[in-house]
Amino acid sequence: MLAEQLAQYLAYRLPQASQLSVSNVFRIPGGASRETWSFDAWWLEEGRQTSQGFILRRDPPASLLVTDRDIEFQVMEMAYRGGIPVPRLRWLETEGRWLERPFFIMDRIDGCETSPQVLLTDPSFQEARPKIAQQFVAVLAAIHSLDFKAMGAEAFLGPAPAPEECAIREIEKWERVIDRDALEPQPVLRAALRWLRRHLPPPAPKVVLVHSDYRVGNFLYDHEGNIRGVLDWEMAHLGDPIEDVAWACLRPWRWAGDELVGGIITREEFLCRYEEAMGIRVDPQALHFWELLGNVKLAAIFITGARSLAEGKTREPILAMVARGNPRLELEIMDLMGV
Amino acid sequence: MRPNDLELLRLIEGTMLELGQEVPSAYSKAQAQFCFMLLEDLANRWNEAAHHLFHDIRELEEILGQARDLLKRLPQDDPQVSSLLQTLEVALQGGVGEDLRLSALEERHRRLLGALERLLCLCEDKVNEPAYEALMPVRSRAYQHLRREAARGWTFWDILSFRNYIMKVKQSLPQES
Repeated sequence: MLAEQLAQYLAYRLPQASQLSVSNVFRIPGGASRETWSFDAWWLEEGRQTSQGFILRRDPPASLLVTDRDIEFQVMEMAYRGGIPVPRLRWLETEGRWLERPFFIMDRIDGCETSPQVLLTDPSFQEARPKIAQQFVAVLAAIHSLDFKAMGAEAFLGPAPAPEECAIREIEKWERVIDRDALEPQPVLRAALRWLRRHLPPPAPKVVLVHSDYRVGNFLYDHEGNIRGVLDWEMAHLGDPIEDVAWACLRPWRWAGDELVGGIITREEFLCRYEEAMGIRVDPQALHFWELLGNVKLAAIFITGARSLAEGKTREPILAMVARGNPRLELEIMDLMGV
Repeated sequence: MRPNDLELLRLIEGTMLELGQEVPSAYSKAQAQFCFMLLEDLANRWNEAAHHLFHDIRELEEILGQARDLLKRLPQDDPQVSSLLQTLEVALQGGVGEDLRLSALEERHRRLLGALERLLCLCEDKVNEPAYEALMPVRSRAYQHLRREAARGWTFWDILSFRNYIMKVKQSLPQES
């Protein structure tokens, strides 16, 4: 059914194509906010045989993230133009005419993995790991070096905040999410929000495009040690680069269960390489602030998932799974607060 | 009655694991795996849920009762203090009684936790004010309680990024009854 719908859609988008067919349609696991599907398309164009693998990102049945989908598409397109490794974006549909729900389609990057577990444990990636760790820093610095103003990002992301506004803006954003979606009292998160207000960091060293979910697990990598596609841009915004640096360091992404950032690089090396690449200093106080706020943000995201489940808007077990992990985040938050 | 509830849960878990191996797509396998892990979490909590809620409620009542007594000694012209006092009085009314259904215990626990949330907000707002210093021991006690609640149970995070951390946290906390 989905294959037929996709073939009809591609025929509309590729009017020069004939004998178009779609095959190997399958859903990719994970992706708590949006359905991800992979498929192959084959067609004739000016007598030549053409084939392409695609990724479909479709809204879930009851998405609360209407604007985020558009932002994800536009930001990825901008990053692609700026030379950041991201899949090439093809088409965005904001209505349900073709596939019942809004979606966008991008080229599939083949021959890659995303799984942190594979990266950390598969012996065939042993040689690639140090290079991936270096690229992990280099790609982040490249994202933060994009000239977002010249590239027109403010047209879809809104005006850039002043450096001293970045932190408070993010506190307020996630506090609103907790206000809106919490199903039960949240003493730890409420206390943490107050702690954060008392410990605001110095102004951002510069205002940049913040990916907002940059971590091991959110990029495609290959056996040669290349990061070939940065994924999940739906929370991207303009703000403080240390927000991304701290997010990458969060304990939930220390996949080896030790203190290595993302399970692949020491914190010292990660920070040192980032500072070198960006020519800025990562203020320890700012890093601590953003790390604490990162845990609050993650808990807030999971609270939103728990509400969607409770209201019957979704039946994704992964949302239940991660929401049940919030006590772990609370422990980390209390540790970072020093209480 | 046998199989008992826990045995049934374990049975469903085992079936889910087998189904996960049979289904062909990676997506279905992942869904089955998540369901298995949720059942595992549920089974682990099944026997102790009421026990923990009962004792958490008692401890929260103690903490909030202590907070109420301390707040009464503070200047009542601060509207945050007087309003919190009212909240505490209401929350502390009644008690567990003889209704030990999980829903009743959860309702009582939620009400007390709501009061604790407001208490902690006040503590965090006043943390550097000498006039409120008397309140700070109850703040520490509240966090200690929250840490104990949070350290319980199991999630898939524990077998990945949180495994060493949880081991350390559990070693540092007093043993639960």
